[in-house]
Amino acid sequence: MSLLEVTGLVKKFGVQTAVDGLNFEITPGRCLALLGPNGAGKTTTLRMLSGLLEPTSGTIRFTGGSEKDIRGIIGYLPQYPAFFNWMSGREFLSFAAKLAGLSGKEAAARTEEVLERVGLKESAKRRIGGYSGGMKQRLGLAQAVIHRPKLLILDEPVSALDPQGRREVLELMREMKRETTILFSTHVLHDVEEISEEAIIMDKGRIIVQGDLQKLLYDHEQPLIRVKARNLPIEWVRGLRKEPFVRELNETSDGFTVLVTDVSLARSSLLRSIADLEIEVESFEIGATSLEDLFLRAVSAG
Amino acid sequence: MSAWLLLFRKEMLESARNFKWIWIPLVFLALGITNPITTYFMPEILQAGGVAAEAAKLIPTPTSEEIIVKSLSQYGTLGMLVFALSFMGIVAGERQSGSAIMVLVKPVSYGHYITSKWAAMTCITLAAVTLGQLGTGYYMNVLFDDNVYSEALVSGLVYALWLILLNSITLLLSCLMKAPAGIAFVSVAFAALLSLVTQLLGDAMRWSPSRLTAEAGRLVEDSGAGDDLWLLVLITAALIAILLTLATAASRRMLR
Repeated sequence: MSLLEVTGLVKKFGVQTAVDGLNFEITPGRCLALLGPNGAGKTTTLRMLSGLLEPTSGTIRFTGGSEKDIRGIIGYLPQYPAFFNWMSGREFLSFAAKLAGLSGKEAAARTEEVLERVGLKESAKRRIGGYSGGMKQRLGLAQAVIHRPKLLILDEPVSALDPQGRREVLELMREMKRETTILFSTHVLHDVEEISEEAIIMDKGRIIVQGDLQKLLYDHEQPLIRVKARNLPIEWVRGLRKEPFVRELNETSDGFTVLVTDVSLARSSLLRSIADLEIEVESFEIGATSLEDLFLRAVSAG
Repeated sequence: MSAWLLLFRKEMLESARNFKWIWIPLVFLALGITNPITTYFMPEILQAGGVAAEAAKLIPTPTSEEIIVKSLSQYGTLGMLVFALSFMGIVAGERQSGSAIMVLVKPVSYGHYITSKWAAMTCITLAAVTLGQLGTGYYMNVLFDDNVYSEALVSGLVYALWLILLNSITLLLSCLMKAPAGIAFVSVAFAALLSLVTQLLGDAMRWSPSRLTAEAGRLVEDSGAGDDLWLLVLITAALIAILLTLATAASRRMLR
């Protein structure tokens, strides 16, 4: 049972196709990351899901709610949240709460609760115009969750923040995950590994891979061996390409990396050659490709 | 309805916090009181300028009707410019900064979003014109011992309808265009063009809302309301309704 089902979602701006036939669903209670380089169509997708943009074709179906206006069950944080700078933080949150349909009393109570939650209680009386970037981002998160949405949509929630602000926002997202379903976009892989359970990698308006993050990592994980050494004979390194266990070979400034099919075979073969050729090895590391490798490969292949 | 009131209150509060509620009425007050005062002191002003006392006396003192009509015509030039400049960014500014998204991503009706802005603009306009006309009335009373409050207020109300129509055009343009200066320019140019065409074509443009300005003047003079007054009021109201509908449709599309 999914919270939301997207089928054949397309958005065209004139002749340019920003989103080209997306199909996916969101499971309630899970955190889904939408990953892709700039211009992949992430923001356009999120804006369609949040009801701000009309899709050119395709359907977005919420199974979670019967509301006719999907905006009521969604909380949305845009990439560059902008507020009314003449309002105070508290005024803005109370305004947002009432816009979302909370009664005066509920809105006041929820405003205080959320202010406390995002750590803006002390600055609640100050004008938003004087807030720092990190504070604005936290205020943006606060307005997105103020009406207890079933789905929280965050567009690049941490991309513009310094390390400190980034940590704070990721921490808040982790807390919010317990209460709601989160869909967020990012181009930073580290964020995905840190908090999401599922991922969709997008490029040029299409989905390249999608699924459970652990499974994605597992499926796309390939064993690799990284060798750093001083006097590497170039002919030998190049010759490795012909070995049956080598899938891909990349030369680096101080050595080389090989993606291998059979680790044990590769290890014994490489170590034997190193000993025979008396290569001065500095490090010999066996590992696996990371999500970053997967991302880069997926994007360059697509 | 409560969502509409919430949006309307936000607009009113915003206009208060950025002092539009203070300086726009003050501009109209200044426009309103200038005419009675300069008229009253005209002989002295002329003499100070070197015109002989006898010559100055020969210049006829304008009637109170003429003074009120002159105030009105200043609302139509300077006043209109003030409105165009202060309301040009009413939607475009929020779209540019991104704060429009923060409102429209909540379950808010686009119609409410637009009409709440229009209502706030209309309140300021009515307040400003009323204050200006009260200023004119007060100085007419003090300086010329002439009680023209009711004529000033009624004619001001009719004149305000013309200004409200122009504000509605500014509001629509603010949903369609991005550059604030362009919005103000097109609004003002539209008003000027409509007035010009109305004057040139005469009878063919009997329906033109810009004739409200002349009708407002006629209300002050003894001739009373013209035959076309109610027709013009109806046409203008209908045009405002159309402009607001168009603005609502445009606001749906403005987030790209």
